[in-house]
Amino acid sequence: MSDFSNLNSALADWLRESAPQGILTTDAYFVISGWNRWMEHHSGRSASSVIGLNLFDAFPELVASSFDRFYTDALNGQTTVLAHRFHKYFIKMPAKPEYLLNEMLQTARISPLVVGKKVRGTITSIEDVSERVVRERELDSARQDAEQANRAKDKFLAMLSHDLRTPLTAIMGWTKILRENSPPEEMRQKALERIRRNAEVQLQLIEQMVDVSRIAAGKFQLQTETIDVKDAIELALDAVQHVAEEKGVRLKRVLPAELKITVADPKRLQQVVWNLLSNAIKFTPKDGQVSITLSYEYDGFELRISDTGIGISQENIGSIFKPLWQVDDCLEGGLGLGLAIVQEVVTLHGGSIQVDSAGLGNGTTFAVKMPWAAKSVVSSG
Amino acid sequence: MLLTEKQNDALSELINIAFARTAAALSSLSGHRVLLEAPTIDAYGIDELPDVIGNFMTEEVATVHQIFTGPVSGDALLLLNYHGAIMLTDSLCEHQRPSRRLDTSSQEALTEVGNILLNACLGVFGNLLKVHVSFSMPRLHLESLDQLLRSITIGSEELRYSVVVSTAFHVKESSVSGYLVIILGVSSLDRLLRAVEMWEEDQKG
Repeated sequence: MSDFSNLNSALADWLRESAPQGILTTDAYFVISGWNRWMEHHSGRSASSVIGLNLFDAFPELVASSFDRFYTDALNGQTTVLAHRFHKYFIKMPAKPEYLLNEMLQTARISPLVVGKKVRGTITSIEDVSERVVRERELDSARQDAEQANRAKDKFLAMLSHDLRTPLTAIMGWTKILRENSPPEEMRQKALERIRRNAEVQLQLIEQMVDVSRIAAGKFQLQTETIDVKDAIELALDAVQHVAEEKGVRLKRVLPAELKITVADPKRLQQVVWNLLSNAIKFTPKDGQVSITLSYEYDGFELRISDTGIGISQENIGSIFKPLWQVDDCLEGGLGLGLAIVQEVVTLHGGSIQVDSAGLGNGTTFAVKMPWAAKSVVSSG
Repeated sequence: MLLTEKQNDALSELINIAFARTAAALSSLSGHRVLLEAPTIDAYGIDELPDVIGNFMTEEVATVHQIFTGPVSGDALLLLNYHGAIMLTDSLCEHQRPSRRLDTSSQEALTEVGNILLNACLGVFGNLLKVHVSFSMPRLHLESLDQLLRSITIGSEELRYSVVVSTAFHVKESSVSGYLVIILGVSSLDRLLRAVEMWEEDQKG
């Protein structure tokens, strides 16, 4: 019995001095009789300043929140749980600054204080749940991101199978015509040209996938050499010229007459220009214009590709370099990998890329700044 | 099954009073109109409980459990199936997106909901019997129905009965069904039913 009394005394000391939650007790008239160290620390009010005060005089907000009725219930034997989801807090206290919350989020429990089988007052425990709530919010946000990534993956796989099958279907169709009929020379040439173009489309898709896979694995490398900037850009322009003509989009080039030598990966630089031009043509309607401007500066060169196309909303402009990102309900095809690869190539060269759009329907401008010599050659993955 | 028609009518009326109080408290708490129905009330021997409830709750259940002690003592439970519990907390707590699981904060919110309901019901019975009943702190259990019932009945030698009230919460477009179960010893049940009958007589008189 004496051991048990000692235990009770030790427990009371622990609750008063060390408990990781707030404990406040009142007598049957709601006069504060206990206020532990946790309450002192977090409320900023010492035990000596509140003990002896009526709880509702000391904390009128408890009456404003209608919490006073739970104290009457407690004297009648009832217990009450107050969850932070419904009430946010029991007594307003500051939260730790790192949680970025306006106040400490709390869950409280109000119970009768029973001594010798009789209700002698009330006991309230208050728990700081801020950290847990912040973690729950982070988890929820991570879950959302994962679900979004999963949806993007499903969409990507659906697009991938469609985009790989489309050129193959065309190739098989034209091959069948060549094998089963004896088409006139003009038709034969047309068939061979269509087969070549569709094979090129498929090759580009496969190369994009390989590139993204290399970026993810940190194995994306530049093969730098000394090249003429204008030459690399003109090669990319030549490759998209026929696409622009077929679509009825004007291609305006503003290139300096002067030749300038840079150290870069020629294939990748062409890939950057080709991707940006292809996108611009893809999203610009007939009779629109795509312009490319090259300017030389002291520490590098700048390439601006502007179009009069569909533009990008402010909501989406921050997402366009994410792999697999696509305009909602995009009817133009493509895997949404091109801009992610462009950004990686530019960054590997030590350059930067920026996008600007005045909004939907108002065109888009990409500005690529590249140094005269590539600074890095391997992706960090 | 054990209840006469008269007892059933009187109990229904009392439960409806408690449910109306609960609905008002939940409406005020959530800012949404909450309706709470008690379509059926019956009493069963505790050994029948798994069959009665198990027919409707086959998966994991979320149960708010409070023990009450005093001249009348027993266990009070609000049982919801797990997905119903998620739907109810999402509706009451203004969740933007449907949750997949009950995180700790949702469990606390559900405990408060159960606490309000059980306090209201047991409060009505306590007033009726004019007895002082003490309540334990509510606890939330997430387990199978069998496990839950085993944990409640284990160690009890007294013949026990359960008053089973089917419940339906209506919040916004959601409707969540569950059970309020009050488990009593035979003497407590007898005392409750006699008090209920007397209350019914007083109402008529």
